[in-house]
Amino acid sequence: MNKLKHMIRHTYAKSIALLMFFMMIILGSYAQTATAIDPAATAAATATATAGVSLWSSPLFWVFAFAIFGLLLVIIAIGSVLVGLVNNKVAEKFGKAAAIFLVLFLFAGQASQAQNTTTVATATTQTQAVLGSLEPNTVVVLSVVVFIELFVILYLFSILQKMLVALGYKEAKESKWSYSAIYKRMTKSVPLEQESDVETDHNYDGIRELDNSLPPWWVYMFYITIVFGIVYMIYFTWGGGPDQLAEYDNAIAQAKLQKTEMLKQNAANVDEASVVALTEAADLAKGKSTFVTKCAACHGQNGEGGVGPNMTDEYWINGGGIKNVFKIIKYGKQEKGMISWQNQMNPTEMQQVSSYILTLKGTNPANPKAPQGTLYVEEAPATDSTAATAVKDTTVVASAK
Amino acid sequence: MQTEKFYYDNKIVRNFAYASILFGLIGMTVGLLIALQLVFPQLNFGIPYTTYGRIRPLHTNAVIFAFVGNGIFAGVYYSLQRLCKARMFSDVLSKINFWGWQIIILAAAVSLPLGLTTGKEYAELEWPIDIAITLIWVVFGWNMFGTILKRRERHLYVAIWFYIATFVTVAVLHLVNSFELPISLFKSYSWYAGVQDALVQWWYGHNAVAFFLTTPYLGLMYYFVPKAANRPVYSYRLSIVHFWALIFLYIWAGPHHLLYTSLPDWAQSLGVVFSVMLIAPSWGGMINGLLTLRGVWDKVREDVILKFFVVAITAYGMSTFEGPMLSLKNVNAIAHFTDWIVAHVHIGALGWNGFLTFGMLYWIFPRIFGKELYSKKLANFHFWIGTLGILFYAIPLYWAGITQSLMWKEFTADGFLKYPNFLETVTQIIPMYAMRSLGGLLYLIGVIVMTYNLIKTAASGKLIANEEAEAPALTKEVAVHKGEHWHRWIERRPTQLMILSLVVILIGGAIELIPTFLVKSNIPTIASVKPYTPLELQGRDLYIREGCYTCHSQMVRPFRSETERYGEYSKAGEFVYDHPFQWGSKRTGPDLHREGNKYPDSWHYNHMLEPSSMSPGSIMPNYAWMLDDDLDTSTTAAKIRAMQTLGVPYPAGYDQIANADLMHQADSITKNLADAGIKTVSNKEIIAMIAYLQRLGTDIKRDVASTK
Repeated sequence: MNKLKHMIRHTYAKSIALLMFFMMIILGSYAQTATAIDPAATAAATATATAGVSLWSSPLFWVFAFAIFGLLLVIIAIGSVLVGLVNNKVAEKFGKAAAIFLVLFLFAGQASQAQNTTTVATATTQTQAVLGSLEPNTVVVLSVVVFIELFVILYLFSILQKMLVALGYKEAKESKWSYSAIYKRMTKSVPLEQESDVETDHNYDGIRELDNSLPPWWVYMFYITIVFGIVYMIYFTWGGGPDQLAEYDNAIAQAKLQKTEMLKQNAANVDEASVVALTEAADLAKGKSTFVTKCAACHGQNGEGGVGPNMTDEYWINGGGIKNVFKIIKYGKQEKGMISWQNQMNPTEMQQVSSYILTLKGTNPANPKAPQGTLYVEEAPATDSTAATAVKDTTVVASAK
Repeated sequence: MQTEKFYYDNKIVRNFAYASILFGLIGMTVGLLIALQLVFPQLNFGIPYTTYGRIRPLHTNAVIFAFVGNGIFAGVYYSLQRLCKARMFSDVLSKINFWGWQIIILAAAVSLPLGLTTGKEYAELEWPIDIAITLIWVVFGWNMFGTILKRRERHLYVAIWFYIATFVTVAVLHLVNSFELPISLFKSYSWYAGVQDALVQWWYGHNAVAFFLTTPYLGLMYYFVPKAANRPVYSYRLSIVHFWALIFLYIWAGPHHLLYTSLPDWAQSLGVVFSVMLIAPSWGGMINGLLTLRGVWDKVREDVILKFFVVAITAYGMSTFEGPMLSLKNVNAIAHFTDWIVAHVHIGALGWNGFLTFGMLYWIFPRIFGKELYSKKLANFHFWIGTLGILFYAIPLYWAGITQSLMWKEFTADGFLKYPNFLETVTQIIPMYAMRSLGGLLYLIGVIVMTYNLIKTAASGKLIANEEAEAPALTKEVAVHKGEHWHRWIERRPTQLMILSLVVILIGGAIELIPTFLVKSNIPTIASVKPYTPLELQGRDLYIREGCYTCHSQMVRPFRSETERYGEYSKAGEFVYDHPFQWGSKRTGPDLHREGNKYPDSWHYNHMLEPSSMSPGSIMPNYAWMLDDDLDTSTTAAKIRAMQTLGVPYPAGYDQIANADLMHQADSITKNLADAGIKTVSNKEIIAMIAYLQRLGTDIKRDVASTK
């Protein structure tokens, strides 16, 4: 035992040095966190402007921070002891590989630590819900960090125990929490050699039966699922848990919010009143690709028409011109089979494809569908006599078919 | 003690084993074909009898009821005799059971490609076949119980408990779900409508998995695994607990097939929690199976039969864990309607049922033919190629399912669906479908090799048709051991065991089904929802005939991604005239519940003629014959009358004028088509089909639209 004390004292200085080193890493990453929050917060503009402040001003955060830091110190302390033992030529007894593994493991622990801290930073910028002035995501992340640390401590401690036993500082004692002990407790399986103790007198066509206990892990699992079932049933049936329509309404409300936000930012928020035909080649190219993927099935690859009317002639069922075309694309005309596209294209896309369609006029594609609707003349005065005759013509065409 | 000499009937075991192999080969070949049809739609061959919608039910029925069904009978007839120390009760009943079952299968194999179907998954067979199934099942139960009653073994072994539970539950399920009103020899309507039909159907569907694919196979496992390993069963206590817990809990879990549908929330929640509670009872079987192998794991390395068993039990454990996870609503929201579910069931089917059957056959053949297995090498080859086949089958489909689901749900920053065109999400996963077909092919090759191996084994030996055995007769007085387990009491009383299991399985079903039928608030009615017109009704029957439900759902779930894609979510009151319901369970194509008025009549006409003309790259088969075939309107009156019997409010005497209405509506569609340049006549099937598709999901919009 003396020898151990000596050893710990021996490594004490090293521990302190290590501790200082890690403190610097932690502080550094927190500093980064703080700076990371600020620009993010400004970017998100309104809602999360105070995210950075609320993190630092939350008492819960500091509780977590101290817990994390305190546990880190414990890890470092145990780690230093282990490092000390390893340096002290313990490695020879354990084998080089084990020593290297130990050291690596320690550093891996620290590294994951740093990573988690940065996650905290990103998480905080996202949500608005507040839990003790901390966002739920942050609480989850911080709790996970604490649990990882506790796990690391347990693990290091078990290694330390084993080392001490191996070095003869401590007597070997089967711990209640060793793997094999837990395994035994959780399975309650009678070993093969003592099988006859639990053998029944059953014999069916040579099949014998043992009567091992129900495996406790299995029983516990069964209990847990039953408790889950009862709690779930009560919560969702009588306890005010959201039903599926509430879930749905919530999702739709959120989507609406997001959409209006998007539209506000979208400069090209055109509608059927303000739309103008685009002439830029890039816009028309985009319009064309939209046409090919979304419209061509009914209106033909080149606008020659098919199930839907021909887009290349001068006759329009619902009026030609950019405003009418945009409108029919946006709202559709259900009784004619034209579907509404406003839920599948944004205003700019509808503007682009409308503009492209207007360029098709007079392209004379193969297999054109006969004209439908009325002749449309841009800006034509109502009294124009040619338009009137054209209307007559088309009526003839349509009824002849 | 006087020993009696008697003979086991091995011939019936052999017959069932042969039938299982034969139909396994056929069922799996059809499976491979439909898998390939998803990659190469030309393989639908353009004729009605080989299109996906008709032969997918052929595949499922063949592998479940023919391959596994005959496997069950083979295993039960082999093990029951030995566990009871008695020959089967009656050779005549055995023969009726065998031939009756094979005739049912043949009837299914003929009727399904002909399009004679009830349109209810895994219960597609029409009413005359349903009656035949009932009769043969009773014969099986009678024969089994007769054997049990004249047994020479005092106590019933756990395998027999499972056989008994299987018998009573399958009987109850089949009877309740097959309640249908015949209108002709080959056509009937489900007695239930809409939500109720869905609940009954999935109570049945889920428990077909439970009591046709699981409990009998657990029984077989309890016989063949300890036999093959020559090891005692791990825990008798565990057998008791997991048996009763399993059959009690399983029956409740059906609604997990209907999460986020129009089924009332409380019923959905019951489905969720009972599925989760099923993990432990299911795993009880796995534990007892795997731990029975304690001490002989070295043997597993050499004995191919044990290898099959280990993979089978492991697959069972995996899929019974995955099942409850899929029953959680948040997981189900992703997985439902996708190939994830197809992968999940095939872990069960290929791994658990398939491999257990193979192991069992490799065990039985040498014993009933009195000859060693022809080739251990080939059996090993079968094992490895089969395992590889399962992996190649399942992994791509998991991948496909998750990929497609994520694509369905993805929104752009603008708040639009990222993939508004459903077809894009299908095209994306076609390579996965190709890989899956390869997996299926590997698995099938394994079965072919097994068939060869077993035939060679049989040919080299001679069937021991009547195997001699000896056992003392049971004495009248029962010697009760002091301190024996309380459960021994019921193990001596098969009748009580059967009654108790019947009671146990009735509880869950009753609690879920009865309120859904009796409590009105569960299905809020919608005033604007009206019965189908005669033409639409005929069209609906064509939809059922062609098996459209195998690829298209009619259930828009209340998710933003679905209402955005399809329209308003589906409501319980919209399905009150749907006999049977057609919600479907898989979306290989898009949902159709809001299909009405989405496209012009001409679009549907062209699309049914050749889907890829309207949707380039579509993998839907062509339905050209619907354009040529005349609609059979001679059935209209009978159909209207049947619907009236089922409570659909057509005016009295409407059956007489229904055909006039039908022609009137047909003419207006023909005119629409003519306007679009399509020449056809009003009495073609396509007209009825279009009428039905255009009606789908439009009733609730009528509130707003003009009143007629």
